[in-house]
Amino acid sequence: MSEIFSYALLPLMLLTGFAVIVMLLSALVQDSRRVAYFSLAGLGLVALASYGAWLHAPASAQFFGGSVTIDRFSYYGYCLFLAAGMVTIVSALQQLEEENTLRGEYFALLLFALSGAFVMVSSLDLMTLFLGLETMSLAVYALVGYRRGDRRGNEAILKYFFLGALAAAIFLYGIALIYGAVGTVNLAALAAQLEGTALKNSPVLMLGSLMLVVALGFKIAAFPFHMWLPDVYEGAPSTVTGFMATAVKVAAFAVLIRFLLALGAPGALHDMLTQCLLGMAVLTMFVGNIFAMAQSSVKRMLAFSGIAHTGYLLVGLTALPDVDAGSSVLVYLAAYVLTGIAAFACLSHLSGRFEKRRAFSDFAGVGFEQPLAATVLALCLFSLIGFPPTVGFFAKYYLFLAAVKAGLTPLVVVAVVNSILSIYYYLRLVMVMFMVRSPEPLKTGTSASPMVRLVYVWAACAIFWGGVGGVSLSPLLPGAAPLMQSARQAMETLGLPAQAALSQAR
Amino acid sequence: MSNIPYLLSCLIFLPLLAGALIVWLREDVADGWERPAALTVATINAALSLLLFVGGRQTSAGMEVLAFEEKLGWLPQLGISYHLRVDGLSVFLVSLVAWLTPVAIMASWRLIRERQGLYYGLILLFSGGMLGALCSLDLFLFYVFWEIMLVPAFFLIGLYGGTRRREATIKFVIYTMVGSLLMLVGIVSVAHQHFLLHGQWSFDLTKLYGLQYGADGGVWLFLSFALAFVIKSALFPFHTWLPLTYDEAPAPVTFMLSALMAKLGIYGLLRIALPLFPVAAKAVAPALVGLAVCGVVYAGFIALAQTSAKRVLAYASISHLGVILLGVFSLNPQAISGATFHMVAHALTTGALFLLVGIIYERVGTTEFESLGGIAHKAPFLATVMLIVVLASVGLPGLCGFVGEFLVFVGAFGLAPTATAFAVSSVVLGASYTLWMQQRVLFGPARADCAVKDLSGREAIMVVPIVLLVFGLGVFPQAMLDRINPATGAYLSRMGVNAWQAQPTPAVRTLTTKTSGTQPHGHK
Repeated sequence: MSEIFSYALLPLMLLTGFAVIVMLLSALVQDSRRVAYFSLAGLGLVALASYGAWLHAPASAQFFGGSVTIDRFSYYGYCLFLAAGMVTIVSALQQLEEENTLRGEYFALLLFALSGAFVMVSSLDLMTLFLGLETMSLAVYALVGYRRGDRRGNEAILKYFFLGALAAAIFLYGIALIYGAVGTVNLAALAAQLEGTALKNSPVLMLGSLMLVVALGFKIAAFPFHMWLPDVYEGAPSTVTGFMATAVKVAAFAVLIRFLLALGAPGALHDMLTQCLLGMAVLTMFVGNIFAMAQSSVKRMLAFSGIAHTGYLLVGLTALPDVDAGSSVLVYLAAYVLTGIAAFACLSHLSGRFEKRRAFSDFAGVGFEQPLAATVLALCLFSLIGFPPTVGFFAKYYLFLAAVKAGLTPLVVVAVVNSILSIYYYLRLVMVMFMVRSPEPLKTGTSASPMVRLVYVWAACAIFWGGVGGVSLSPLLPGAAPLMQSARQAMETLGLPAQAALSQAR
Repeated sequence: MSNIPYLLSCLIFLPLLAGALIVWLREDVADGWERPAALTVATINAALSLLLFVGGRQTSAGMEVLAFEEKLGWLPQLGISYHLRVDGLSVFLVSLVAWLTPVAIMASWRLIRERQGLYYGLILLFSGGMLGALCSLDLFLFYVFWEIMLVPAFFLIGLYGGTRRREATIKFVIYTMVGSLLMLVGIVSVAHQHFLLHGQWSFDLTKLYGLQYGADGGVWLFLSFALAFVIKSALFPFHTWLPLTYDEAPAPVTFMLSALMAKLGIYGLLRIALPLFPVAAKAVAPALVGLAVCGVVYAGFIALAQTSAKRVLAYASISHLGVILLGVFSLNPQAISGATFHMVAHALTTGALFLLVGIIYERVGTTEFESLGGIAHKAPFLATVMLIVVLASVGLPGLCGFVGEFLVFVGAFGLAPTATAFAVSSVVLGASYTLWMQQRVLFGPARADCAVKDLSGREAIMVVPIVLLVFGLGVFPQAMLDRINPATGAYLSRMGVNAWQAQPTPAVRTLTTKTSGTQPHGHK
């Protein structure tokens, strides 16, 4: 039992503890603002613990009979989740207060979703992974339907829940098949067993792994499992959408990386999965971008553009198990979390109470009505395009570099063609905000709270510095080079448990 | 005097930081403070650029070569460095950008009345981005500046342009991004090639020159770079963004686009695309020469059919850029020196013409020929200046337009006589459309609704130095060629052509002797 008190486990334990306390508080405390501040402080504490653990805890350690591993890869994921979670709390506080729907349960659910994500990124065992996935998903379902009276919200939660349940079933069935084929659900043991045996070519294992990829494909919204996404993103409150677009996607991608690495070195299985990922990457990019171009609602545009970014990330996954490919995916995820969460925070502020502004034309002239939020949103959009000197550019650049190194130059050209398509719709929003004068401006009358302003300024600085910085100015403002280095360190710890298990097996 | 430390960084970051500051503060400081502030910064920068000519001479292989250099580590894990350098190939373009920025600011003085802070800040950012791209010797750094440049241009056209400005903006941005993103793949691939051959990543041009590529010499890589650059310099058939953009952008911005930004594409070809892939470049060059000549003739004919002065100038620009590209793709010492010279000359003449047309637009509110005419009666000074610049742009000997064009044609003729013969026809075409434009705008019956005041003091300050330079470079081209030639020589030897073994023909010798009016071709 003493292992529970290990330093490495501290962030996970703290977060789960805070989630439980916040749930209790939300029932007891009248003023929900206090609950929000408490959750924010809790996340801050978890962030401190994670940062300290990154510096001082061992690079990789296993807990609970090898079902949970806390390594640099986990900490990297934690930091991204925490960034997404904290920004979500700050902007949700503003949005919910304006709409008079501030209730403590929002923050409790958010913290539970985060702890689920924490478990996902640290699990070394498919069953534990499933628990984490469900904890996160259930909390997010509830968050999606947070606006109870809203028709769109109800549609969104229904769609998301049914498809999510289906994905969960597929996931479980995949686990069963893998267990049937290999006799273990532990990823490290799986990797050790597959090493140099003919087990790799077992069709049952192939089917099982394919099912896992499909189920995770739902969560990351890869083609053809993306159909739910636009409606859900549109129906959910913008702050929740931001959280889903960033934290949920990161968790699913982190799991994919762990899983694909466990399946290991080239062979029939690896080839099949690579082929699938390759096809999915190309189609996801095209579908995301082409549909995004056709949207008239800003939120739907961002939803489809999120699909397109999934496609770019899949390009990186295709190049696994190369360390550069893995770390480029991690850097891209960091860039995407930062940019995406900031973009949705700006959007939730700009669109006003109950998201009055929806269509592109509603945003006409916003650039001069709300200069700070609109400028930060424009910066985010430039970063999403991959325009230097932003973190989005650096991430895309590093991703392409890794893919070219892995001999995927044609795929990179496809990704570039898609980036070109994306310019159209991202710049369309920038142009509408700054270059169109609305005949009758839609007054939303909202002004950002000081905390939201702080988030904007931080996001702008981080987006810029993440694109050019040779050094980190602080843990809050990582430079491009240190970001890459951390991602590499995170990737390098991934193989450790498998190696340990392998040496044990021998 | 030796290297002045951080001069290049100052040149780049002074306008960038000042521009960002002006955009950020805008109206907060005081009413109308942005214009003088931006002008001051731009003028200081222009003065700084003069230091490039006083200091930084290096002796290399017995030749005096201009070179300023700065190098710092940036992202060493990926082999990316902060490496700046200015030499004979870029020094004139750098000083041109630095000097024409205050002119653009002065030209906007009365034209831009709304959101001045944003406008002048963006102009400075634009200028800083161009300076950065011109000075970078690291491909990553170059790419960053190359793209930074696009953002202010995007906002300048989209916010301050004419009625079809949004269409123009999106076309301009998507066109240029298509090129530059494919170039990004090229950049990454080149660095990867370095990685394969030498075991480490590098984006430093000095290390990337001379890399070996497969049997085809990296034709696809060359094309990925070349595409970005020819789109920027409007090579036929990649020119279609240009007329609309030039037409819709406010006159001072068109001035910057035509005089400065279009030259960056040509500079990129000379600095990056051609020397990185000499084998591929030689293989593809004939096709590119063909396209350049097509562009020269095609745009010339289209220019004849235009009904507004601004559009005539836009197509004239395409035609002239075609001549420069012809010189660049000829891969021959005279032609490349000529092209480099002509870049500066064209920047001055086209720039001045766009300025003058902008001045007329400010007064009349249009540049359509049907509502212009007889301006010479009311504004003799303006008409005289315009006539001089038009003659220079047509290529009258003694003015700056002649020397570069002549050198390009002479250099290209030996390699592609037929194509060059077609290109020479552009001189006749050019004379037709420019002089015809001149006639329709300046002469003819004076129209009552076309009451044009003569140049004001501010406008004279903008235009007169350019006119003096037009004369100066026409009469003493050797002063400039002396700086260009060593750079061209070093450049061509990198391309595998020994420049000074390929002796200039006697005709060129006499020409350069005559035009310079001093001793025969060589170094003082």
